[in-house]
Amino acid sequence: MINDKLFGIAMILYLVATLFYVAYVVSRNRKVGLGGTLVALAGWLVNTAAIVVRWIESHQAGYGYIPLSNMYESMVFFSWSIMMIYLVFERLYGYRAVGAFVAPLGFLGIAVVSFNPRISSDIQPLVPALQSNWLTAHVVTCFFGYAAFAVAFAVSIMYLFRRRTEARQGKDAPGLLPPTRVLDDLAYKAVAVGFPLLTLGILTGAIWANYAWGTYWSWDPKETWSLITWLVYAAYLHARFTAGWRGVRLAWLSIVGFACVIFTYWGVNFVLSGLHSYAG
Amino acid sequence: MKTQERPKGIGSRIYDFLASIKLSVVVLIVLAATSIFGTVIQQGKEFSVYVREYGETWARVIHALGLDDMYHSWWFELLLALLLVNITACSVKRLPHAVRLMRYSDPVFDGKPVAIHERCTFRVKGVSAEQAAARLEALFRSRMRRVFRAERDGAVYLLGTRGGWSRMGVYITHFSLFLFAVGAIVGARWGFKGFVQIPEGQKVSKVRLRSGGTKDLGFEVRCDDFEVVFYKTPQGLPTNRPKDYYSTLTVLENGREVLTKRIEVNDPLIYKGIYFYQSSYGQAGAESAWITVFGPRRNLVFHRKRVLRGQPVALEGEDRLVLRDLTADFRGMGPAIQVVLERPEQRPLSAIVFQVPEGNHRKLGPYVVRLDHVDTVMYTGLQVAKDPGVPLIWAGCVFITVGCLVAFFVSHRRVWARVRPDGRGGVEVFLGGNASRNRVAFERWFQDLCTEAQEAFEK
Repeated sequence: MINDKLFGIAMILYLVATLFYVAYVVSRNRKVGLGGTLVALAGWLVNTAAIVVRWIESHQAGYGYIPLSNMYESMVFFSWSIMMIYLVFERLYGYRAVGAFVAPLGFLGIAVVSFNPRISSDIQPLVPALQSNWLTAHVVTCFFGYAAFAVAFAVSIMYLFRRRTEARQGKDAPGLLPPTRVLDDLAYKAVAVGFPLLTLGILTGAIWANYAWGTYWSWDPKETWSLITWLVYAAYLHARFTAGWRGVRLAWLSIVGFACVIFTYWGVNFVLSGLHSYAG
Repeated sequence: MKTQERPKGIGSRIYDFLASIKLSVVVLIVLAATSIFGTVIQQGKEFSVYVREYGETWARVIHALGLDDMYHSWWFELLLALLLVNITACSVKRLPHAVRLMRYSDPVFDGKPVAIHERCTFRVKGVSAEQAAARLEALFRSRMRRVFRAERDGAVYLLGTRGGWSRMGVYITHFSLFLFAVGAIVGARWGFKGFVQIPEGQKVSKVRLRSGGTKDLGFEVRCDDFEVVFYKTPQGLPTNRPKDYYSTLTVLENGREVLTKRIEVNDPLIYKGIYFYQSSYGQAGAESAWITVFGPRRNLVFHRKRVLRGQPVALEGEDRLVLRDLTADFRGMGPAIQVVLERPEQRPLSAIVFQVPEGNHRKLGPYVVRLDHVDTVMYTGLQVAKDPGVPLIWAGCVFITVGCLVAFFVSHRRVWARVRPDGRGGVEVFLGGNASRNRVAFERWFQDLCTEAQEAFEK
């Protein structure tokens, strides 16, 4: 099958993009930064092709479904979404240093499922419960939300590093990373994109559950953890209006939020169990 | 006369506390943290389950704290209620100001506490203040939804606004949470959830409730047919993975057929507000098999004959074949039958015959037996639910989506203009702008506006 080879190429391109971006952060050379963008974009295009090819191959295998249904497919889609949202951010706001922290996430997404012996890249038929258009809407909106939160997470990590520099040398200190007020603003913008998407993701999940199982909410671990994630980011959005909650605390809240995203996505399937265990 | 500060009364302090966003942040985090318990500790199980898992002492603690059904416990619902009270208080406190901003229509900004983020100034020669203001007003009207005008101290002021209604986005979003709360309460109070298994050909009028006990539907539901379709390999051979399964259900009122629908997973039957969802299926019991038997001279004794369980079938001479047992699945190896060959003056011989691999011929004494098909009676597993709160939940979904999109992605933009004669036959123009969201995009938009304004006078 071709699709897993294409994903492998995308993964390598994301790794190369990381190297370019890190080189940019260190050297501040514009051309190197542009190189990072171009390699990341190339990786994203290959990633897109890989998803389309997998879709075609699923038709050839006799099943024919949009490839979003198991751990392998969702992780490579996650990488795709992270890089897409990052590239849009980079286009709008221009801070290539963020690429050094986000591109590794794109690389890791594909790497983890490619090298894990317990996760199969085979195209498997869908159980009847997963044959629904709501599945596509639910998975896509959730993952776009997760991807935006991944960007916010990367920016928050940068914030913590940058803050140490500023604590020693002042707020306008020259350095490898953008100033904290810029990073704080970027993180907020990323969460402001992710939150409505996650909201839509939870809603489409509830609507789908109502048509499939007769109940829109059953406090199943996956649903509950997605709500926990939503509550943490809701707290983040409101904390900006609270004195004493700016800066460092917000950065940590965004990091905790992303930990919740990872637990919702991975932890529930492998550590807990329930209706949602389509881990295979 | 000195104004004295009156100490705030207790009522006022409670109100400030309840209307503070700090409280919102705290409640949201506490809800998130406590919810974790319910995902780690199994919910809604019997006491003995917790004793087995955690031991007697901890099981008692869990039960006392309500952690065995925490999402319906008094303290969790109290937290949710506190959040709603907090939202109400915050909205009551802030809504008047938001409405005032939405309706803001005063063009005069000098000496007023207006936050102007973007500004530009330029001079125009050879026009009067009236003429310049008229040009600018036309420009504003082309870009903004509402334009206001005022004159003061010989200067003309203009205000253009757009997207003021976006200030309501936050309140729409928060209102949706009330819809969710009421929808959930209505559903819990007037709804039910249950399940039922109906063997093919039979009908039921009661369902087993998830919370225990049974519920009378008030009508009957009959399963006319059940069918499962399996995935085929690319070569066309059947696998044992279900692709789809369907039930044909008929609703009967007083014995009269009212409604028939073929349901499948994700596509329920709806009658009188009660939903019947295809959830699972199983084997209710196998009753007959189709068998082919060949004789000792490689002759065909019978071909695909339907044999009932326990019914003896005549072979050659006085020999008989009895179908002792049959199943659609014998230890994961697929359909199988147990047959006994009875011959006079000889001990009976028994054998188990499988259906797959195809053409499995089993020698039984002088005969060869082949199993063609096992006819099983299936039952259909249905989830049955009624939730009158669902329309409120859907309304909440619409409100929260619209509210979020408006609150995050629509900006309330205001632009001001002040045109003053400069005492040399021309005017001095000042433009200012303010946006509630996405200042970066607004900055670029405002620069475009300034350029367009200056170009309007060069013609």
